[in-house]
Amino acid sequence: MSEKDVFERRLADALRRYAAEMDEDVDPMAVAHRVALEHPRARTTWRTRLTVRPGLLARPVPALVVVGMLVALLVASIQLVPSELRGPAASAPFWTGPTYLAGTETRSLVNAGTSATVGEVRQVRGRIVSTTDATDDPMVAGGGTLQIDIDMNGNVGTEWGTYRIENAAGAWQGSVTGATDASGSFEDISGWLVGSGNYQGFTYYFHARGTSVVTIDGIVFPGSPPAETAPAGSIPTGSPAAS
Amino acid sequence: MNRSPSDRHLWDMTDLVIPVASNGAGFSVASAVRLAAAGDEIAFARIVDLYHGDLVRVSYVIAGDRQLAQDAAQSAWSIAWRKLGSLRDVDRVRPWLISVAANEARQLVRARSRRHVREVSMGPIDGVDADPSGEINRLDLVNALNRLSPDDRRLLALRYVSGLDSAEIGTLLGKSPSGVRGHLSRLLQRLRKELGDE
Repeated sequence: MSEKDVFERRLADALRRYAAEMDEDVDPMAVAHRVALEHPRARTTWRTRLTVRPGLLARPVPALVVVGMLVALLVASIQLVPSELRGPAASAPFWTGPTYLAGTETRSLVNAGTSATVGEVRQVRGRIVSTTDATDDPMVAGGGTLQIDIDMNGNVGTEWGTYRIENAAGAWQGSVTGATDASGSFEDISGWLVGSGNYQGFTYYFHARGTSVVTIDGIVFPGSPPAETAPAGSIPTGSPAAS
Repeated sequence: MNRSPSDRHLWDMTDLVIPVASNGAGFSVASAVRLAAAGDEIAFARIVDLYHGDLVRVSYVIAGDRQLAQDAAQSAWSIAWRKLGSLRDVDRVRPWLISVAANEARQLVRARSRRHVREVSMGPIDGVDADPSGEINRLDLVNALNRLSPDDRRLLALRYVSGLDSAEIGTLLGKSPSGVRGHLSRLLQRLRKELGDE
């Protein structure tokens, strides 16, 4: 079909002219949003993973053992999460695209940790804070545990630690860093949390600020946190200081 | 309170954002396909922006009706959203999308012809039928297309509107390239007679 004769070329031209009469205008974002709403994209969930394959049914005894073990595991995992920490029902979270979320967090001190002064730095270690996050994205709402270490240097402290949020559909866990002041009137913390359970394969980046009323901003997206960060004090390539 | 990214960035990142309409440097269709398959609406919108024209043009040749062509393209996007993850070769996304739209158009035409006698859109008659340079007359073309089956119109659209070769068409339709060439040759022979080229 590489060589076209005169008629074939005329036909091709005529067909293209005819096809070009068609209005091609479209709002791509509107189309994408509509299909995403009509067909919410559910990644592999605990429900689909638990689906029994037809071949398994041909072997009733092993199948019953496997199903029994899976049910026991499911019941055990649900009981591990205290009821007050359970978030929205598992059917709620469906990720339909990367959207920015917002919410608030309430905190209560579970364990103040240990405190020691080394030189001019007051070191707080193993402080544990219980959190409850209410956000407009149910995927990241729920109860959490923040374990944090703090180095207070004068009135300003640097913080780092781990954070885990749980709800009925899964959990988010990862590292956090931030800054605080001695009075506790200012606290700013952010972190990269990796999803598990229903949220496997997703990452939640959040930023929380405040003390009595903590506001949260964040985004959930498919993928992983950044693989590495530049060492402290690095100079960006191309900056005047680098030359 | 979901907010769009543009509401919130501390720094202006617009120079780093791939424009929705871009098909220029830095834009990777393959990466957009992978992201869209993972549920990224913005990546999917980029694919829509790139290929919607291809989809409606092919659908129009098959359906002969603007509304049906638009419906076919919209259905194709729904299917694409659901099945993009099953696409084995992301570099073949264009022919795959075109074939999905072509199939939708074909099915819509068949469903409509089962319901009632086909009403063919003649489109604008504002002088485009004039044929001073030996071009194929539009009305003759439309009439000839109307006498073809939806399958034949699909083959013409895939070959001459979308520019797919016989191997690509064969892959999409489950035929051999030589089978496609033979079918096309018979179609051309028929149209040659109907359009008065012999």
